[in-house]
Amino acid sequence: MAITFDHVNYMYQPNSPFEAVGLSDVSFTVPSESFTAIIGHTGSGKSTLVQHLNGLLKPTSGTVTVDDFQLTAKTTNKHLKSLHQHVGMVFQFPENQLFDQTVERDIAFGPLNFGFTNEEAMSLAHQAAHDVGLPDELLNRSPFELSGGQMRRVAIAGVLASQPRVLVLDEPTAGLDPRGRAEMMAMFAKLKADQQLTVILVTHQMDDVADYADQALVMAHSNLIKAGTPAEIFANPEWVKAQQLALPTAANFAQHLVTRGFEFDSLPLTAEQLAIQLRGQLPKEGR
Amino acid sequence: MTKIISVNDLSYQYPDADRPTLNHISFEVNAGEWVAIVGHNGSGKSTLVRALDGLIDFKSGTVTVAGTKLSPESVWLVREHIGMVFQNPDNQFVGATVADDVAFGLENAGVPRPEMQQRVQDALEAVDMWQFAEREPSRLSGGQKQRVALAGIIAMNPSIIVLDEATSMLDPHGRQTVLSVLQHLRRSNQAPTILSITHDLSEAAQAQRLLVMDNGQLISEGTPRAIFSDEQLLESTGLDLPFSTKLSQQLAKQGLIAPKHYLTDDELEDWLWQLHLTM
Repeated sequence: MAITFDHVNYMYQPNSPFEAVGLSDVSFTVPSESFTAIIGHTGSGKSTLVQHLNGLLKPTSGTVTVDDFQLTAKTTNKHLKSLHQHVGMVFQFPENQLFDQTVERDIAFGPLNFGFTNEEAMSLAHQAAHDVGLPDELLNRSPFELSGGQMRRVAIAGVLASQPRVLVLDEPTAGLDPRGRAEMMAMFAKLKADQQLTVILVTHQMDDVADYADQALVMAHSNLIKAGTPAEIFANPEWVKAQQLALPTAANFAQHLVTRGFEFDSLPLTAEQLAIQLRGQLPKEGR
Repeated sequence: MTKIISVNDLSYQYPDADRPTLNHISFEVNAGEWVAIVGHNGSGKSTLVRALDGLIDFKSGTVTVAGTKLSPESVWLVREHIGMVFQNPDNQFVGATVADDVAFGLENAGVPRPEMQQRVQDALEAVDMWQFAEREPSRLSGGQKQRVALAGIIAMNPSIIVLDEATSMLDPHGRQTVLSVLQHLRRSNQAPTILSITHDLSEAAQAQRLLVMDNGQLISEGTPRAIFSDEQLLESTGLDLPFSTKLSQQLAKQGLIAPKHYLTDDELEDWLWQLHLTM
């Protein structure tokens, strides 16, 4: 599903003493089935932006278009149901939102709410549990008996069970250990490929941007200040630093090599890209 | 070297757990040392540092902090030596303003007002947040919040600062500012002992010594260089590989000469430069 923001403005508590700008004239397009990262320091407007994707917030002015659904200031809440079903949101620490007595019922809650029959909902729940790598024997357990990583997978399965076409992930790996992070990012990449999902990822992990994103949006002070491929976003290290962002680890290391006389056609963003660009600048093994 | 923390054969099992979360743990920390505790989620790291502060009612083993053996009678004395900073800064604010929040612990300790005001200012200056003294804590960025939380600890002048994944929720800039405050603090007169739980290898690399936890046990300890050199250990305990190791593996994959043993990022940069000069 393609997504378009057309001159979207959002004001928090408009016409009150607490009025504050949330989004200022934001316009961009996300192609269907792409992987888009949203970056920017804390408080830059990333979360405000993604809350427009399923109508949790409505623009004060401007239009958000998701596939053929249009969200404006005038959209009424009862029209939001199809948007809710098509755009799945995984918030930070989603395991805090688990509530039901068994894993199965917790995952099935979404489909039941969207009007699937009990039988369909259970079947969708089992499929979603399988997709996130939860073993069947956990389905009848209480979600609160599981480990933190498993609880997070239950919460993500609960979002996937409603068969969304867009998956919005707000720092989904926060608090996980390195192996847990790597497994979860690989899981999202596989889900995207298997189910042709459009994925929006809010993240502080520049290495994840380099490894997974087709394009990135950079937010600062409620404005969208740059949009492009990761290579375009990170091409100018001084600019990146001025935005209080970091370079991917490999790009940062490559920058140091440049000061030592190495040359790169484009700034490498991953260890693999860096090694490839070092061919011809280093001796080969066994020579 | 004065030992400031001694843990001897500490074991603990949560009431409903089927195995111990801490399993015969023993280690010591020198005064002024920076020690990082690494290990995957659920390995027992957080339980271990909570035990030091008397937040866990362990039955087996001993904990001695600054010469005082931890017991129900001594717990308040021990806590005076330890300041803890947790993962989520939003859960630890009590004051209406940044200055009030930093003053909270001092007020509880009955510090006279003029001295308190000076200590609040000194602590906020140490973390470079004095200009935010009258602001509301909830309106700060994540990195700013953690620096205020740290200032609340610094104002109490504890001999030990414990950081439980205190940088994990921060953006790269916020993480960097907190780490540089810690580096600065170590060179100040306070020179506290630092015990940090972290998954971030660049943060762990700043410690003098690493303790590796797995499954409730302390399975290894050593300098960052010694631990980072052990790829098998890193992988079996679910830790990340250092960037220099990842790049070395990729160089080998491209048929290029790769270093035969672990190098820090800076050393790898030098090493590559030397090789480049031979071309």
